[in-house]
Amino acid sequence: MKRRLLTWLGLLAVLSLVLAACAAPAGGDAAAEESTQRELVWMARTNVVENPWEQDVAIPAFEAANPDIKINLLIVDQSDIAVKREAMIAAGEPLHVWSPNWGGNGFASDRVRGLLYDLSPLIERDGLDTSVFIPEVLAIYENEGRQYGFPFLTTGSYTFYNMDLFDAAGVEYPPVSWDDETWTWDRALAIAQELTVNPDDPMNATYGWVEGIWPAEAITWLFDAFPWPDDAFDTGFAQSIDFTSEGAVKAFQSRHDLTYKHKVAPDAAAIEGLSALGGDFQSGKVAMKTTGGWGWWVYSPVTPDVEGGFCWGVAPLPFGAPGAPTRAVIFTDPWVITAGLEGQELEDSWTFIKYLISEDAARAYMQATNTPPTQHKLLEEWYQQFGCMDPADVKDVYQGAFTNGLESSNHLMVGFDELNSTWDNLLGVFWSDPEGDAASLLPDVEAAVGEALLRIAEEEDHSFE
Amino acid sequence: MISILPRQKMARNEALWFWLFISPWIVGLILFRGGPILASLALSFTEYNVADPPNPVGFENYARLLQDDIFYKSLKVSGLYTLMAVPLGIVVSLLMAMLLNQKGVPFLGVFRTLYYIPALVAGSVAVALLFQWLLNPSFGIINFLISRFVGEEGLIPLGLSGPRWFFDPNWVVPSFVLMSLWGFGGSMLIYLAGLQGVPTALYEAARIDGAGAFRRFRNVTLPMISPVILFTFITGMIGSFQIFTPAYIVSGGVGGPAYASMFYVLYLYLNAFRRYRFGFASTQAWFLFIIILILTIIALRASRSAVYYESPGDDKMI
Repeated sequence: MKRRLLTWLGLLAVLSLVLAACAAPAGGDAAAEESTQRELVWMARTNVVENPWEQDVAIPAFEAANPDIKINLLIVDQSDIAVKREAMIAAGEPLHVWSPNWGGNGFASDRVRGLLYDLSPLIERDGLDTSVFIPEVLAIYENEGRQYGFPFLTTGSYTFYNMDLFDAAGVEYPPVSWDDETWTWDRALAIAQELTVNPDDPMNATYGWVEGIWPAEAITWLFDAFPWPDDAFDTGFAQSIDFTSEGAVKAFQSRHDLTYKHKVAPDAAAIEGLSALGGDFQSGKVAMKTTGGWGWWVYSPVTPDVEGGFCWGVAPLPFGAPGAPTRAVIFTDPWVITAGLEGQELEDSWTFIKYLISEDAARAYMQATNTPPTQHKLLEEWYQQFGCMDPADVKDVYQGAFTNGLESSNHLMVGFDELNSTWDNLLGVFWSDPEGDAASLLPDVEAAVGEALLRIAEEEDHSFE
Repeated sequence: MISILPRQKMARNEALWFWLFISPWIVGLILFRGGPILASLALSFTEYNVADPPNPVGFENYARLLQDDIFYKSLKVSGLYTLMAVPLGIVVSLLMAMLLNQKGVPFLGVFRTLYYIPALVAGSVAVALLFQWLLNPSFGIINFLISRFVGEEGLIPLGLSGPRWFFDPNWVVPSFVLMSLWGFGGSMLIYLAGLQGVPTALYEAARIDGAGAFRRFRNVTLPMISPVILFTFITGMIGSFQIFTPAYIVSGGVGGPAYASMFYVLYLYLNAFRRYRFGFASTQAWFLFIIILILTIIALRASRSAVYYESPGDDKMI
């Protein structure tokens, strides 16, 4: 009898759980509205300045204007974003709007693999005005007449410098013009030597120069030793890379010498330590840092008004060799739509992309993040956003990078991740070895990267004829 | 009244319970692992980049793997790590288990818990970041202590300085081995259980025969817990070949410098998820399976004369 009662009670409990699970969720109208919304998956990178804009500005504004579309924002660490994307595509999970240049391979690989939707027919159908974009920047994501994406930020590579350290030592700031041929590697080195204090004691050191140009191959650009074949950035493929030219050897050795010969730069271990403390340049212990233009927004929280803050300025990358025509690596990120979408999904994705590139949304993004815009109209506003620099100087130095630079190999070379891993592995020992000799190391690096380039081309059935 | 079940029925009952208890694992294996395992075998004979359908290439991936320099480098890194980390892990865990198996030590339960806690986060991102910081040659506390004790101006001025740990290719694997010791608590707990299962009568008999502490350890403890040592050796070896997270975090996914932290599974991961060579990566996975299988069989065979089983049928359990 007791057992039967227990059995009935048990069945009752299971039944009520099933009923509860099947019942309509509480919430009435709001829940009903939610269920009629179409969902769009937007993949973004983890970023302290971008994420609040996405969550609190972009999505609410878009959803208010398009109440039948709900944006599902997927935030992933930049280093893992490509992995996540691959896994989602492999699993057939919905993914609509994203950017191809974060983590691993970049735009070129995704284009070759057919992951990107050709937006050209949609642009033509809607008569979208693309003249609002800086033409050279828009063209980066155009290939064989197909427009694959719309750029939402673009920047060159620069020398960021700590004005307070310069002022304290009475040293003149570097110039803002990219054509100023007095701004040479040697002059930058002389300034770095003047500003370096206690280089052998990392805990109490102030370093004159952290050289952080990325990708690693791009240091050769400063020394007029561009290592890629002429058509490599157009096709995305190359048969070889030139790391053994006189300029390339000098470039790598000069960077190495900053640490071990001139003792103006921290070694890799000290950089790692400073980065863990909040960033090498942001620590206030570095007078100059040559690096990608992410400094514009990464360093933007550093102002004289915050504790430990300081005024910082921006200068061109120095000439390693007189008249080097291409010095700056340019980084431009676009929004794209996953290839293969159709019907309502495609229309919704396109609606969202159009919203993201609208003037208002682009302005809100620029203001919230300090990232340089890709539309003519907004640039003048962006130049005003840096309290310690004159807007005219910001304009000169920012724009100069585009007439003295090329888009980065991580965006334009197919299989970049393997190339980067190959040279980083072999150069890693060199950067940590005080006796390191570029001339003896670089032939090996050149050969290894060459092998990787041929392997990548073979895998993608690319012909060099 | 005591009912005595016939022997056959008892055996059937026991088998029934066995299958009942193991069924969640078996069902999980078939449903969630069986498919991917078979799929990876099939993919290992294809070229597959996710975006396009798999393209059959026969044994091409296997042939390519055998000609791949980085494959051998990764195998060497993982092999070296296993050779160092597994024996050291066994020694440290066993020593700690013996210390925590003492009688009459106050707060023994607290100590056992404290020493076990780090194992809960062993192999995690947090531990990798922690050791990256501890072992930083410029800012890390380990090198700071080395310089304070045996540096030029240390307590004992021997003029020694700490190694460059993760920045020196020769020190990379030892650094990861050091990091692996953080997780000794798991094995320590198993040894503790093993030590507590050794009959005290054996120690008493040995004591009466005049055996000292070392003899008792060598002739009583070691043989009695030898199946436990074998178990931790084999599971440790399998785990060591599969190390991924610390290498990924510390090297930033590059496996450097000079491929010194290119562990086997890191290279597999890079090929699959960063370079979209899922077919090739599946080949790597099956190669790893074969390597681990062979090493496990060798370990089991070699252990026959060294491992003591109380019950004659116990060796069939492993």
